[in-house]
Amino acid sequence: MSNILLVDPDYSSRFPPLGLLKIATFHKAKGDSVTYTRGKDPDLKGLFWHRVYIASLFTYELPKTVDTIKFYLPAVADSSDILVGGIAATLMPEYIKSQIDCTVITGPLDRPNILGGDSKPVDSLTPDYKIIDNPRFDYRPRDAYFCKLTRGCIRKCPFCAVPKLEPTFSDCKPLAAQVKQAAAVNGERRDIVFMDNNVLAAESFSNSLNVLCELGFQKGARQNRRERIVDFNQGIDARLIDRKMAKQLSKICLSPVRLALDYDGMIEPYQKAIYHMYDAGFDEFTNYVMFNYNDDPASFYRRLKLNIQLSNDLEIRVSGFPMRYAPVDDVSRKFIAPNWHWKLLRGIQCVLLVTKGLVSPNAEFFYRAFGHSLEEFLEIMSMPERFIIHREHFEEIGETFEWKAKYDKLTSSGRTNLLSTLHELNQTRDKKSLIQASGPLKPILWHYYPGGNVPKYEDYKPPKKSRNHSKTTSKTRTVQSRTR
Amino acid sequence: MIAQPKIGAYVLETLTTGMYTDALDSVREYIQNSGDAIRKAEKAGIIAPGEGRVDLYLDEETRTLRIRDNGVGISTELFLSSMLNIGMSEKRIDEDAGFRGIGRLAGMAYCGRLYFRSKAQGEKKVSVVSFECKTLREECQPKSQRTNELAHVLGNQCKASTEEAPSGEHFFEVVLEDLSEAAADFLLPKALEKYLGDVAPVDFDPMRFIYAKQIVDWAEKYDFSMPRIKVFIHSQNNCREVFKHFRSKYNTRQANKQVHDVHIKGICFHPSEVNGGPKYWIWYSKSDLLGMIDDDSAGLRIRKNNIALGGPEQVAALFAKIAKSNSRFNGYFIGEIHILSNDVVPNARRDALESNPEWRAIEEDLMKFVKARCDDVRQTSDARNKPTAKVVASAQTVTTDVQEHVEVGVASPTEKATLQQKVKTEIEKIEKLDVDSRQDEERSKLETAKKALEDVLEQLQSPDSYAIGKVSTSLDRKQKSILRDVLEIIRQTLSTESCSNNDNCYKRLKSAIVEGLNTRSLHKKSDE
Repeated sequence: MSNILLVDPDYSSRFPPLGLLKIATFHKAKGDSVTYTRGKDPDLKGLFWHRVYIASLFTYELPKTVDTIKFYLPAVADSSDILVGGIAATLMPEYIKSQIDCTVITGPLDRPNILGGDSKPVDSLTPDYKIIDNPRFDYRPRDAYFCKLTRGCIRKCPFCAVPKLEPTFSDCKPLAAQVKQAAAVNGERRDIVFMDNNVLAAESFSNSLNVLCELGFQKGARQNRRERIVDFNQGIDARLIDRKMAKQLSKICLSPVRLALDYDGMIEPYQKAIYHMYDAGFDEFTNYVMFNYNDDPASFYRRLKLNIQLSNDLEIRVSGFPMRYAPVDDVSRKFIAPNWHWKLLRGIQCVLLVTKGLVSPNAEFFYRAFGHSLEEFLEIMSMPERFIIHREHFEEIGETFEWKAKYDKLTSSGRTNLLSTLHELNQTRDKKSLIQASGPLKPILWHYYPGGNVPKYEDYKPPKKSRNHSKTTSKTRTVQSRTR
Repeated sequence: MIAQPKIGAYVLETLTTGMYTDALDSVREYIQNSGDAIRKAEKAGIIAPGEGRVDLYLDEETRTLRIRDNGVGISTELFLSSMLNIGMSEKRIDEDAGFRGIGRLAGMAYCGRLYFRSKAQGEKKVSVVSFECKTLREECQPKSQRTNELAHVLGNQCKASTEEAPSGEHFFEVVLEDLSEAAADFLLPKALEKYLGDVAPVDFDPMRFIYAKQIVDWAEKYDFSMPRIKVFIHSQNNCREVFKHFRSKYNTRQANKQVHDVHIKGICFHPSEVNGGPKYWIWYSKSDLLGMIDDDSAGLRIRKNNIALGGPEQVAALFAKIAKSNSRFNGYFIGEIHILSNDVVPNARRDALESNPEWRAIEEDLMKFVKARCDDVRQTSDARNKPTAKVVASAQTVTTDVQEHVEVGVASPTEKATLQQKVKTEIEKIEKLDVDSRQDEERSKLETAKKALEDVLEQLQSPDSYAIGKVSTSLDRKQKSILRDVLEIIRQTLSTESCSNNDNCYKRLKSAIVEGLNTRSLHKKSDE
C-alpha cells in the first residue's frame, strides 16, 4: 500500500480541483493512504511519496504549476512518479515537458488504466470532499455537491478552451446516482454546483430538472432553515432559453442566473433570455462579460451599460462579471487584443479590484465607476492608477482635476498617444528619459510617475477607510476560469 | 507474615516520567501492546495475517492522540483487572513483546486524561476506563505532603464505564487527551512518523528500498520471526502509512567538503549459512563503503520482535570495542540485528538488553561479525588507495616523457599521433577510477595528474610542436621534407627495440640535430 500526495498549486482558485478529489477516492479504495495539500509544503516535501499528483488550471499559471512540480521532485523515487493533469496540462503538455521531466496526463480521466494497474475510469468516481475539509484550504462553496451532467459543448466558440479540452458533447453519469453516491460518502450537502459548459443543450436536461426537484432542490427549498441553491456555475446558453425553458428552470432553486454577453452579436438573444427568465420569476443575474478579444472598449462599455438599463427597466439585479480574454496557450496573462490598450485594461482591473470583480447593477455606482458615456469611461480608465483606486481622495485634494485639465486639452490622437506612451513607460526601467523625450505629453505624464518614479505606497495616501492596496495582483477573471 | 507491605504513590512517577528518555517512547509502548493484540487476533483467526493495523489519530485542536488497533481486544470480564493491575502482565515473554505490565502507564506523564477503551469480538459492550492524570501526577509528586498508597490513589482517580457498540468490532484504543507541552511531538505527524519508522515493527517500503522483499523472503525461508504490523497516522483528514526509513540510495556525510553517493548494491545475511536455531540473525548492506551514511537510518541496530532496542549507538559501542575510532564504521552500513533468543530480555526502558549471560554470549559472538565489518571497511579503503598511486605514477612518467618530446619538437605527424595516443590512454586510466567518488586527498592527486596530461596534450596539438618549426634557419620545402624523413627514420629505427635508453638516444639525437642546425645558421648569419 502506498502513500499518495495530492497537490493543488496555490494560485488563486475558488473551486476544489475535482480531479484530485476523484483520485483521492480511487487511491483510498485501493487501500492507499492519501494526503492533500495546497501549494508548496516543506514538511510534506521532506517525506517520501510513492506518487505525487499535481493539478493544473489556468495556462497563465503554468509557471507556478511547474515551480510546484520542481518543488516536490525530491520527494519521489523517480520523476515519473509525479503525475500532472488538469486543464492547463491538457492544453499545453509540451510547455510542462520542456521544463521538467514528469508524467503529464492530458484529457479527462474517462478511460480505464490511465493511472496504471487496471484502474477504473477515475472520472466516474465520487469525489472525496472530506479530504479538503480543512479551514486552511478555503475552497468555496463549502457545503455543496459538485456535479456534471455533460462533457463538452455544442458550440465551437474560437475564444473558448472547451472544444480543445472536451471535443465531443456527451452525457455524464445520471444526476441521481452522482448526488446519492456523494451523499453516502461525504454526507449530505446543502447546495449543488454544476460545472457543465452548456448544460441546457443536454437532451435529458428536462429530466434532470425533475430529478433535482426529487432530490430536494425545488424552488424555495431549504435545508436546516437555510435556502438551498442550484448554481450552473459556468453559465447557461442564452440562445437556448425560450419561454418554455425559462418556465422549466423556475421549478428549481436556481440562483443566481448566469448568462454570458461575450460580444455584441449576443445582445439580442441575451436580452430575450433575460426577458423570458424575468417572466418566469427570476430577478438575480450575474453575467459574464468578455473583453479584450475581438471587441473594443466601446463594445465593452455598451454591454456593461445594457445590464444597468435592464436592471432599471425591469427592476431586477443584473450584475456584470467582466472576463478578460487570454489566449488558451498564453502562459503570461499579458495578452492585449488589437482594439485594446494596456492602460485601459489596467484601469478596468483597478476598478474591479475595489469591487471584487463584480459590476454592480446599481446605476449610481455604475456611472460613477465606469462613467456616463464612452468618453467618460475612457477618461476614467486613462487616469493614474491611484486616482482610480482612491477616487474620492484624489478628487478632494484636487490632483484629479489638475490631471483632467491636461487630459481635456489632448486631441483624440493625443489621447491615443498617451495610452501608447503609458504602455511603453510601463515596460521601460528608465522612465525619466522617456518622459523627458515625450514632448507635449510630458506635463500629464508626471501625474503617472511623480518625479519620474513609480508611485510608492505613500504616494497613494489611501484614506483610512480603505483597506485595499493597489499592489494586490489582478483579480480579474479570465474566460479560462469558466471552463473549469 | 509480619506485616502487609504497601507501595507508595511516588512509585508511579518512577514508572512513568522517570522511565523513558523520549516522550515518544510511551507511544511505542502502546504500539507494542497493539502488536501483541494483533498477533493474538491473527492466531485466533479473527483477522487474516497482514490485516492487523494500528491507526493513530492526531487532533491538534483538542490536543488529543488516539491510538486504535484491530487486535483481539480485552473481554469485559478481564478488562478492569488488566487495566488497573500494575506489573502483573499475563503476557508470555516467548510470545509477546511486552511482558512487564507497566508500559500502559507511560502515557500518564503526558496528558490530562487517559482513556482505555476495548471490545473483544462477539461482545456487545465497549469497556472503558479513564484516569485523571493531572490530579494523579500532583498526588504522586514527592513534594505532596501525604504519602498515600499507590493502589488507593489510582483507585480514586479512575472511572470505569461501558458503552454500546456493534458486535462485529474488536479493538483496543488508548486516548491521550489534553496533551502537555512535553508531548508536543505527539501531535506532529512528521515527528511521529520519524520516530515510529525507526522503532515500530512496520514494513520496509519496497518502492524506496528495493531489497525489502529479499530480506523478508530470507527470514521466511528460515522461519525467523520478523512480526510486522501496519501503522497509519491520520491528521486533518490526511493519512500516511509508516514504513521503515531504509532506502536504496544515500549520501555520505560531508567530509573535507566532499559528499559521495552511496548506492546499496546488495544485502548480506549473517549467519550466511544457517545451521540449527541461531540466537540472532542480521541483514546488512553491501556498498562501496565510501564513508559514513548521512541519514538517521544509518548504522546497524538491534531489534527484538522487530521493535528497536535503542538506536545505532548500541552497535556502534561494539565497533568501538575493537578500537575507539572504529565506532564510526557502524555508520558505513545500514542493517538490523534481530534477536531471536527468548533468554535475551530487553531492559525496562527498552533502550538496551539486560546484561545476562545469554546476552553476553551473543555479544561475544557478535564481536566476530563486527570485526569482519571493520576489516571490510579497511580493506575496501586500502584497495581503493593502491591503484591510485600506480596510476598517478604512470601518468607522471608519461607527462614528463611527452613534455620532453614537445620541448625538442616532434619529428612527424606519425610521432605526434603516437604520443597523443599515449597521453589519452593515461587520461582514460584515471577516468576509469571514478575520481568523484574518491576521498579528498586521492581525488586531488588524480585530478592534478589528469590536468598535467591534458596540458601536455594541448601543447602537443599545437602546430608549433614540430621539430622542423624549431629550426631557426630557413629551409625550403624539400629540405624540410628530407629532415622530417631523416628524423622519422631515426625514431623508427630506435623504437623497434624496446629499450628505454633508445628513446633517450632518440631524444638526444633529435635535440642535437635541431640545435646543430640552429648554431650553423647563426654562424652563417654572422659570416655574412
